[in-house]
Amino acid sequence: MSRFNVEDTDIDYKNIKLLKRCLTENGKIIPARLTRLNCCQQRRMAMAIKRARFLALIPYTVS
Amino acid sequence: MFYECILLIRPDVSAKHVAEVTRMIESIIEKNGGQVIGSEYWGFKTLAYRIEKRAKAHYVCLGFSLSCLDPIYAHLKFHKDVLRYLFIKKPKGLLFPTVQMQSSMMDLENQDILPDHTPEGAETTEYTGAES
Repeated sequence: MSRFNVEDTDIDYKNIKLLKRCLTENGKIIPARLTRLNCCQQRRMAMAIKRARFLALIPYTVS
Repeated sequence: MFYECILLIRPDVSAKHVAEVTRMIESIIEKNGGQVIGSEYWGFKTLAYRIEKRAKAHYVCLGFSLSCLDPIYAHLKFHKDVLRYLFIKKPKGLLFPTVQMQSSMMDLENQDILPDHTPEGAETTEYTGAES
């Protein structure tokens, strides 16, 4: 995955398309060193992914 | 404080009933001195995984300002039609219509963040579940 520009306000649990860019095929969160998001953005992204998982918008795991 | 609330409602209820549940929560908000800013019906969506043996659910999103969430929690906790709910604090204000409702989800340039509640923001909200 390459660097992509994200506005802080875009990181939202509803923005599934954006969240999927930070997930592997199995649904794991990609680490910050690969997503190239800064520390703050990565934390918010992780939070957003976890919220979306809870609401069954994205799966916890893909087996 | 501004809050966003997402409800997952059982798949076997009608759209009319979904609107009723939504209206009930809105009335609780207003009774407790809050203000409903936006209400959206995201649709009858397939869940990413099964919840209580159900593969689909009605998604409802509510935006409101309220000082205390306890009365809504008390209502939702034992509500038989609500599969799951999530409250999110939004200190910076709410955004309606939400990203989900917009046709192109990555087209984020047209969005404006509402710093506080304005009547215009309330007018732009749509609720498709009520009609059907």
